[in-house]
Amino acid sequence: MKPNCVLIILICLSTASTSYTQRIESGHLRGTIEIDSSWSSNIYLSYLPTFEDIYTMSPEMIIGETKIDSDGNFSFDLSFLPEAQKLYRLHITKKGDSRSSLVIGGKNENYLLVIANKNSVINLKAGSVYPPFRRVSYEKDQINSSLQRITDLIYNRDSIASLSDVYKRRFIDNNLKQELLAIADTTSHALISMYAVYQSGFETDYKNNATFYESLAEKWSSENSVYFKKFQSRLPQVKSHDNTFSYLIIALISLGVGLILGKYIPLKEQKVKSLSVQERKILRELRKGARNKDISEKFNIGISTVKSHVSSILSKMNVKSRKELMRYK
Amino acid sequence: MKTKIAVLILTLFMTAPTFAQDKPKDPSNPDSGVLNLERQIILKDHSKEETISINIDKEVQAFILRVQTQVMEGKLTVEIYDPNQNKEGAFSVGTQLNSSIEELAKGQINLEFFDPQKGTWTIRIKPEKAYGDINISSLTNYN
Repeated sequence: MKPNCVLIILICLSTASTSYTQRIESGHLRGTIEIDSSWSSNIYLSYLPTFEDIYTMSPEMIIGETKIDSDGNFSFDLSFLPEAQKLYRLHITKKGDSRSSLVIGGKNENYLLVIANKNSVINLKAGSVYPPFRRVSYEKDQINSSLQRITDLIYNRDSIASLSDVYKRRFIDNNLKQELLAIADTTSHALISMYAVYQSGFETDYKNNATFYESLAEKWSSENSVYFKKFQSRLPQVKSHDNTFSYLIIALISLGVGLILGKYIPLKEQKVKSLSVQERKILRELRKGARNKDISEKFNIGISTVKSHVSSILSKMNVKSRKELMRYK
Repeated sequence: MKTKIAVLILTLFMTAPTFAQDKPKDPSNPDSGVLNLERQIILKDHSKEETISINIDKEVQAFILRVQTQVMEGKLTVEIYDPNQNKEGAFSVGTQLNSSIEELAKGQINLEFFDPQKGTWTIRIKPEKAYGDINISSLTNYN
């Protein structure tokens, strides 16, 4: 009897301890940063309602402030944030500067973007003294790690581009754009996808790649976030007609055709539909017998990126070789 | 009178090296050097858009640009364009309208280009009832 009682008490204690840990673990942003004595020991959290606000600073944007201790540790309680994931900015300032100070570029760049909601558990480590947020790693945080990957790509582009001539810069810019669009295309997180598209400069590229952007808008059409709506509003609008009846007929016909196709559509086509936009483009080239090098040159992407796409296509199409892919007509 | 002329000549000789510091010569290349430009703009309830142009000629090997702003009231947007009108950077600082917070908002952008696009670079300054100032400093390194 006694051992049973002990066991029950142990289970109760363990459950209580787990729930307590979960309670204190919920909704926080903790981090460690390496800063020298020229920086103030305060760190601020600002809400960024749109991507354009990444490079905007005003006192009203700051929603949180906390101290950085002598070991570089800081912590924000995020339980007051909304349920929806949104974009935020952490920033620090130089001693004597206004708390609303933003530095873009150079060794004193002072901000870091994070995606969070009220339940986010974010643990980050910033491992560079100048700029302080240059090398950031996250603990088990796929969304913010993806966001950081985009930041790293842009930073690397800026570093290499500043040392390159005009022609090499164009090549680097094009490569960056392709990598960002690949992220936008393949990520399962809408905010990351929208951010990658925003950083790719889609507004100037729309005409060259309209199908891609339209597919992307369609992919995230169920999104309600301001970030997506802003992206959607910048795509050229299809002219609307006040003809509800025509739309209803078209919708009914589409539904009928959809049902028939859904029943009889070949499995192969369904597999093709599971490919991303970029993968479909590469599949078209593979069917023509193009080599990795040809594809790399045609789409201005690295050979390793091509190899990664080809491997993903083979896996999604459930085929073993490129030859089998060529038989898919 | 002779003393005054002598003092004037002496002053001219003494100040000449100070001017030359803007573009120091590389002894191996008499046309090489560095050119610094600094410009400050004070904004007082300013809403008129301003454009600052910086000409980058073919001898320029490197171009470093820094734009610093501080706004006490109103809003200010700074945009930097290369000669092909590609936006190379932008930021905004300011306070929201009817804000009760009285605080300085500061923004700074640093850009560096090796072999920059040749032609006229433009910095567009778009203030909205802004009180504050802008400091633009550029450094061009000649071959």
